[in-house]
Amino acid sequence: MATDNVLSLNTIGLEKQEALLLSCLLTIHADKLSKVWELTGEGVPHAILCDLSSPEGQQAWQEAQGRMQPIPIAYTAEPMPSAQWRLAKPVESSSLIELMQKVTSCVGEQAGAPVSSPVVSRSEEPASTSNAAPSASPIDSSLRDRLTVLAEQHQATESAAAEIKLIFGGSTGAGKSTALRTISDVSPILTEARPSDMVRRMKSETTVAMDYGELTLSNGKKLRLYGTPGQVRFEFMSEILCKGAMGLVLLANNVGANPLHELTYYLRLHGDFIKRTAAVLGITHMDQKSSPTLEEFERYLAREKWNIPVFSVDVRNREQVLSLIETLVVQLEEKGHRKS
Amino acid sequence: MISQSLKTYFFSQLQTLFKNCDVVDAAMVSTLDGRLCAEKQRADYPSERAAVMGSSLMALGDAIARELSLGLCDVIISENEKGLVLFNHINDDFVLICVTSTKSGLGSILSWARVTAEETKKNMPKDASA
Repeated sequence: MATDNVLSLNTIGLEKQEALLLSCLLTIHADKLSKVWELTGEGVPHAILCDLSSPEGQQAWQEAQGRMQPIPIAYTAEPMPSAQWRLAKPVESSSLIELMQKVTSCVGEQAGAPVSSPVVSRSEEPASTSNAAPSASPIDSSLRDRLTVLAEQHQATESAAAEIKLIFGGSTGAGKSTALRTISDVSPILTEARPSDMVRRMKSETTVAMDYGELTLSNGKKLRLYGTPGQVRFEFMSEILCKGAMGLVLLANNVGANPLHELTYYLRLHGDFIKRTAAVLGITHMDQKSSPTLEEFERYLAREKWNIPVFSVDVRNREQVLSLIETLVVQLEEKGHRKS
Repeated sequence: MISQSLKTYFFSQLQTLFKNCDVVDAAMVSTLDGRLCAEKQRADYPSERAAVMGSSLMALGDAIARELSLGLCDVIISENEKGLVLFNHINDDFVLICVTSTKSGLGSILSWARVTAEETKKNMPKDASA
């Protein structure tokens, strides 16, 4: 839907981060499109992208100053200390993949650690939800040390050659790929495809094989992070990926049709694995839909006799994702103590 | 959603493949996110599951090719004790999966699968997408 100088995109169902990624993709084609773009959600523009190299972009930028909505995003190669969001123009030598990798890592980090890349930055992040997971320091040597000990114990139990890995599982759209992207020490490997079913209303790409990332442990070994596809028909991948894993970070999408019903499915799918190891449950998108509440999830898990801690989590926030892993580590340590 | 006319189109392409290649035992077209669109078999393979697994494998092939800067992944060959499975990209949205139990049929199935994928892409209805 384009007019002479404004391209409006309907981004219903997209989070702001995803809308921002979309805007970055548009950035690639900046010269072919108009100079001012609006990203709209549910009919209300929530972001406006202003190309400051053009007079109309500058005018839109001036008009947007001081407004909270739509969020003005400056699209410029110049430093913009006053900008809440800034997209740097891609340099000509950047390939699409390079650019998207930078954008992805920045968007993943924007709510947590300082942003190092200049491609996308945001000066301030709004306060996280009140139900947020307990804050933890960024993955420090202590957490890496504890993961290292657990990994060594795991290899002692399984075999020295056993893979040291954690699994991110859970429902479609819960943010498994984003969580993995947020904390991985390396650029993650994603296997995504365009959805051809109802999932397309929720997101533009869906995992069809696995996501892969890494955390480097204190002893230099790699803790491998695998994300499973969320859709039921790919459950065979979950079975493959969970073999020999140390534990499970289960994510539930609270804007799903029936989050507790979905959780029942994933607990059944991963039940044996969880009983052998440990799990932690992160509820995502609670800022968009607060029901079921954390208490309802806790009551449900207690009724089903699962000892799984539950938190609300913003998977774009590195500290919150690391908090989930820290909680999982505690679970695994307790389990190890009980065994010994 | 995949329209019935597109499914019919895919089926006609598979019929042509079966006419041209006598070693193919089963062929399927699936979306890249694992939904079966059309199938034709001389055997009785579980096509729904093969379609899902094929999409995962194709996505992994794409990821590996990307990681190694080898461009786009065209075809994945799975050589097994009792036969061969080929996975060809038709385009960004669809995958062609061909199965043969004739182990010596690699050349034939490889050639015809490629032709079928290319022809399917070339003649695809303009508005077709997954």
